[in-house]
Amino acid sequence: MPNFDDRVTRELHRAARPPAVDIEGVAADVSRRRYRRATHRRAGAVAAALGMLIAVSVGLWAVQSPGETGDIPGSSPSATPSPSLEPSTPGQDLGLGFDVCVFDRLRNVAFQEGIDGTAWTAAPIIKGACADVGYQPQADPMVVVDIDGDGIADAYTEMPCRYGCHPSPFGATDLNGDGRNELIVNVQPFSIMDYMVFVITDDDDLVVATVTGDGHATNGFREGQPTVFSSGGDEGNAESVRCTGWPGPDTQITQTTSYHPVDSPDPTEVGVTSLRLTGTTFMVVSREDLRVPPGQNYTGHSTEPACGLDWYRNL
Amino acid sequence: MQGPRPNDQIDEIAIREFIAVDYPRVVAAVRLVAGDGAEDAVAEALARAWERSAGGTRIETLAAWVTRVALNLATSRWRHLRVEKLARPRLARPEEEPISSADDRLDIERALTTLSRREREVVVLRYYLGMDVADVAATLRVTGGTAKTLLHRARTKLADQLSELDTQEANVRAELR
Repeated sequence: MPNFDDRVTRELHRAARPPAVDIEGVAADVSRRRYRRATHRRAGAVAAALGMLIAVSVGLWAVQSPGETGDIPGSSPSATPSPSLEPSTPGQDLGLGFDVCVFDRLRNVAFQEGIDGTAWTAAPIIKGACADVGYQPQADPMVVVDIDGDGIADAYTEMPCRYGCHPSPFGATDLNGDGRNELIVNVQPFSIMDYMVFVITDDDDLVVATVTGDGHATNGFREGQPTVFSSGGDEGNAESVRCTGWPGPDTQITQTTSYHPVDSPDPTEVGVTSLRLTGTTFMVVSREDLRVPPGQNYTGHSTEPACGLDWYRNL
Repeated sequence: MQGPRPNDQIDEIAIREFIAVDYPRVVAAVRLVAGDGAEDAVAEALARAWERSAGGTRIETLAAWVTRVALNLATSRWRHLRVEKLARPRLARPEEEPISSADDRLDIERALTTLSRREREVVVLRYYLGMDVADVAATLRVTGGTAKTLLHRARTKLADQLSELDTQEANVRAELR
């Protein structure tokens, strides 16, 4: 369609209206912005260092001041009140238009190149304030993101939790090869870590990645449900994540789970599922259910970083 | 657009060169994709490029980097508005009137609003900035195949929209006669 291409080109040039440039003015503006960013970074670093210094000082003071009864530090009941589930702490304004109780925050998340974004997990305020520990048992948790690095939230979504969860932003990596990073959220910190994937869509929305098509029930991948990857292990269970083809459009994430019955003659059950993310949905591209005879070890797990993330970092 | 600058660090001379040569077209391109706030987004992207380069990050092509980051920043402003809109019902604030009317826009501007953000980006980079598909893909950090698919979808939608707007205009003219 050469005529059509010409028409689009011509009309875009008519519509574009490039601004007249005051080189000195723009250069001064850019310099100011750069200076402001550098100052902001230095202030942040100083604040962090001061915070750490204060925390260390308080810790040292606590160790060196055993209290009036002369009890041995560490063995005495703490004078500090326990964190309360009763709401008492004010919420935070992340720029959503309403205050939230923040569970956790991850800074310097590169959702897009050149930008240090932030991700939060939070919950809407209930009873007018937040509990000291941040955990809001009655409220649905939510994931909030600042994509452009100005510290103000750009998008949020409520987080599906089938049971009580205490989510925490874990990292960002490009799982669908579209050049923009997805946010990975640790759903629950346990000996087995569960991770959900959140995608920032072309329509400027933040959505949880779900499974499309036939899933793989062995590893918990069910159509229409959030995709949950797991790593770690306990009592005969082992779960691991591997990636192939990353970074790029051919990225496949492989979830391996195994259950080795302890002190039992039964075989080890293994499930291996490979998935590919397209847009906001994961499609299972291969699935395997294996049985490893008693006395043999399954060696298919890997604890190496996968898709640019160390999925075992918190274990 | 300038070709790749094989420099290790961006200095004030490179910044001024960019402002003199590329800035107006990049601002216009960002405005076509994201509307108001383009100059602010490009200046901010330029400041970040300068800061990152001083911090040791190698930026191969300043114009491509600034275009990409400015597009990201500008569309994020839309996200702010969207978040505010989503949050408004919780605050029970009345809906505000839209800032501008679509009536004074050209057909192509109206047609662009029917595309997704990514589709608008490929159209503007391809037809306004004159990039080939490989450069569009490199600028948006997607594969060549993805860029081609987006471009194909965008052209189909634009053709439909422009044809519809042409028909509407022809009908209006016929009624006026």
